[in-house]
Amino acid sequence: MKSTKSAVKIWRRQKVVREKLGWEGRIISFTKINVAGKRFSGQTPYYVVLAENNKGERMMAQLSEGYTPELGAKVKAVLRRVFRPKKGELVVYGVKFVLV
Amino acid sequence: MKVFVKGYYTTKFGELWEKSLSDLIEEAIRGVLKETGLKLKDISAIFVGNMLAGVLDENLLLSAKINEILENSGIPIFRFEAACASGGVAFYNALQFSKAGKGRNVLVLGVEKMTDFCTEDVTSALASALSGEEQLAGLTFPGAYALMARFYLEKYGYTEENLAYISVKNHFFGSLNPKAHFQKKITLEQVLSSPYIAEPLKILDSSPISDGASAIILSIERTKVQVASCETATDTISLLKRKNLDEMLAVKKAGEKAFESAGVEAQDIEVAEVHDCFSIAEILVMEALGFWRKGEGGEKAKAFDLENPFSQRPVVNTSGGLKSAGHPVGATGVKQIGEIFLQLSGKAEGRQVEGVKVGLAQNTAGSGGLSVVTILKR
Repeated sequence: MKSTKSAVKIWRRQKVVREKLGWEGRIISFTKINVAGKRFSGQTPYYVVLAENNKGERMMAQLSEGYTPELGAKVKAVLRRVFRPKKGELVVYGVKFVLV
Repeated sequence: MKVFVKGYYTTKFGELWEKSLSDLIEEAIRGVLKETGLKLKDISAIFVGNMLAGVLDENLLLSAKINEILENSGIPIFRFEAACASGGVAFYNALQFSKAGKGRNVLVLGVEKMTDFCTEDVTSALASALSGEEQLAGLTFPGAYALMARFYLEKYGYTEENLAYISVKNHFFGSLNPKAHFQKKITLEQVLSSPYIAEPLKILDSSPISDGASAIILSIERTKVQVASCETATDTISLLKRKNLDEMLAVKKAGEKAFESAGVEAQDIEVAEVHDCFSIAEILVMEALGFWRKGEGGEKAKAFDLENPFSQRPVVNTSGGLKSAGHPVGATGVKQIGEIFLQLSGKAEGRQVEGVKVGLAQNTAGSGGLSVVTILKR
């Protein structure tokens, strides 16, 4: 995840994030991550959800804290901070899911 | 041009704290030279598979590093990266080099040093082989396979128990391999009660973080074991773009090509090494290669007869697979082909399957983004 330190890369990604907000689909698979990489290790356990809409488009995102996933449940993409930045780093915003 | 396997050597796989990347490289190269009775001057080129030295250890230009270990002979050395299939891809390219008549003997080396780094760092480094979107979602490799596993179990009505049988089988074979990372049997209950890494996958569904190096020498001089075919194919890097979440298309395509160019069918294969980085992976690969029909993998895994472990055809993962033999990622693809070589040349000792003539090795990169399938025959 070293790459997320590049401010320009983060800026470029943010433009894509905007287009994803509000996307809705149903959960086709999910996992609860107990062992994470260094960027996310402070946040375990967390759920990563794979969802699909009726056009067959898929999106993957973390489930926002406090929700419990189920196969077939409807999710919506919302803007959230992706992970806690270290001191002096940019805050990275991205997409997470909430259940609807 | 026909190409043969002249010899194979592997270091022990495991947590080899006393050995550096260089030590592993040197042991494997010297080991395979000794095994084949060749000298370094007899080798035309070295093809190296390694994934993580650059990412984890800020250690690149392995070609020159290896040349320095070999006392600066100046031999051509090429390094290949294709995540966990780096070894398989190095082998594929060495074979093309041999077939093109570029040299009499070519050495293929796979190497990885992983245990110098903490689990978090290794988890992040391995995740470099996931898509950007997957990385930003906090997905890990176990997580990617967990998503496939849950989808598969739900679709075909299986439970985590069906997956667990794969680990029990591979640990049984690993207990017979003195080079394996774990040389002990485990029970179904132990697998099922082990902690989750990424639900529904547990620690005993998962291959370990290992160190190790394996080396093969390919030769145009006739030996008992011929490379009948080696083929590779790619799929999308991201699970999001896969046609079916429970189908490994790169494995299927590479397998079909490999069967065709070797002139054999799935039922001709007597021994196989398949890429069981997680229990679910072995099931999906067995289905993709046509050993099992789509969806029956869970049932077939459960039906394995531990009382007669050598009776099925093919016998799968006699090395212990990645699960029990260990998974130094760059070395794995080379070790798999080496294990098939040992089986076909009658050198597999306590885990020898008697009288086998045709074997297959299947290596996967990432969550299925690339695969290499190699068929050897006597």
